[in-house]
Amino acid sequence: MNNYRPGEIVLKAVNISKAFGDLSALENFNLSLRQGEFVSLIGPSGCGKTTLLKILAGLIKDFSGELERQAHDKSKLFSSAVFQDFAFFPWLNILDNIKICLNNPMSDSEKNRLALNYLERVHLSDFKGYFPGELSEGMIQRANVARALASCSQIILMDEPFVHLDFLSRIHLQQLALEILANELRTIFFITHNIHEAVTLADRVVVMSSRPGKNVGEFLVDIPRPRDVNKIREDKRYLDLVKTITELLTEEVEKSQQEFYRWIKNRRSTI
Amino acid sequence: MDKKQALYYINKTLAVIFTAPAIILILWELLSRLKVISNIYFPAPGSIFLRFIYLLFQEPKFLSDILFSLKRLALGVIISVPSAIALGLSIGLNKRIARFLTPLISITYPIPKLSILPLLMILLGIGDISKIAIIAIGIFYLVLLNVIHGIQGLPAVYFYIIKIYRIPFAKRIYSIILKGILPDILQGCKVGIGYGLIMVVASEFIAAKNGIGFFMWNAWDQFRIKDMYVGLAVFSLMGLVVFTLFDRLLSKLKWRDNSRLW
Repeated sequence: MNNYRPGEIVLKAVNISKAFGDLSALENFNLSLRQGEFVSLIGPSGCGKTTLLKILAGLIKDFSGELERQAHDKSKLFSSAVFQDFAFFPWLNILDNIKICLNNPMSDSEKNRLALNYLERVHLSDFKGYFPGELSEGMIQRANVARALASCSQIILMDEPFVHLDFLSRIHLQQLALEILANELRTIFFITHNIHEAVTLADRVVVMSSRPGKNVGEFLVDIPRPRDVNKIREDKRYLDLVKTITELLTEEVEKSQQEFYRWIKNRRSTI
Repeated sequence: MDKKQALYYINKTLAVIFTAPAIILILWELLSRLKVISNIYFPAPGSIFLRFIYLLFQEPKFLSDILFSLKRLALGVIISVPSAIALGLSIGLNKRIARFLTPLISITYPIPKLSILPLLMILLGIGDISKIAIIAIGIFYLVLLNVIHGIQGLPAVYFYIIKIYRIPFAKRIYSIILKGILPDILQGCKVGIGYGLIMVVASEFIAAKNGIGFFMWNAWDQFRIKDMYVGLAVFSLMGLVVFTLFDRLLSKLKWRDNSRLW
């Protein structure tokens, strides 16, 4: 059974463009996120993925194009984010680090309960009193995910959250993500440059071109949940999809290299 | 066990603090006693110490001079440190305020603070207020610059988290920014108060009736060379206390990498 039943559109990005000086990072990027779906964004490095995430998160305000947010509950956080950097305050313990980010009007005991609940989900409740400096990178990133979940935001934006982790931690966190998400329907936008990760986790994979970033293709991942990180690798649909996306991305990378050589040539001729 | 450990650390700190000065003082003592160097201009540290003890217990004016200097320093700190932190926060966190005030700081910072003492004495009188003002100004800049530098050094991701999770203003300032720059504040206070001591002695040289600076100036006036050294020793001890205190406070911040602290 496939439980991919996306709801109505909650976030729609129309013709988003953004340039830094004369360097165009994004060009007419289109994307829509539906309630309860997991969307992976994949693209070659330096293609503007993080820029896009910052725009969606409201960290970059000066861009052209339109962003439509359908907030269900204005009092609640619309979007939370998990970054590739281990974004915790080193002078607060893990529990306080999560609690400081819970700003809905609720009592301290409620915040405690909520934070502990999600620390439990990521198997970190024994470490609630530890400081970030005392935990491994994988643990910190798990706590980071717990924070985003505890914030009860409508959508969660993730910017290569597992990129700094070693292979085993990465597999572990992917499996954990699959398990947590099987229990609660969250809208998640997940940036990665790992094709396997993108396909394993997502309902839909969006492929981004090299700079300037454009949406060059979307693929539905028609593989039923619950999924298993290891078993899914033998699934034919998985393998086919990985192959198709790899070919598309390779084309994109080649294109960008040719453009780069052209650019270098032009520069040389002008010098 | 705890008491034992505390004693161990105190002993270790004292050992570290006094080893190098002790070597110099012993050498000085010998050279002065053996008259290799003039014992009039370089009296033996032992005799300076005895003079210090004598003054402390036999001359009430001396103790009150110390207290007057400490009072001026304390008032200077109380005025300058909170205002420097407040202004530093607003400059560090608000680009408009930064653009407005940074040029002002750049043109006023290099002015030798003592050179405005005459002006301050005209404006505020020759009493305590102008002295406290010059001490406060001296401390202010160093704390301010450290606070601004501290905020600029905070990782960008902290500010992303603040924005994304909409952390409210009071929490943002107290639990994140101030805690994050605490090492810089302590560092600023350390060098700032050290500089404040310079301002104390210098301001008391001019038109003062009390204070250790006055005591030293008076000793110079009456050619009491040993007393001049006593004054120096008092300031050295104050500097030692300030530096040790703030270095220990810095090492109390367990979340930092303290491996390069002494």
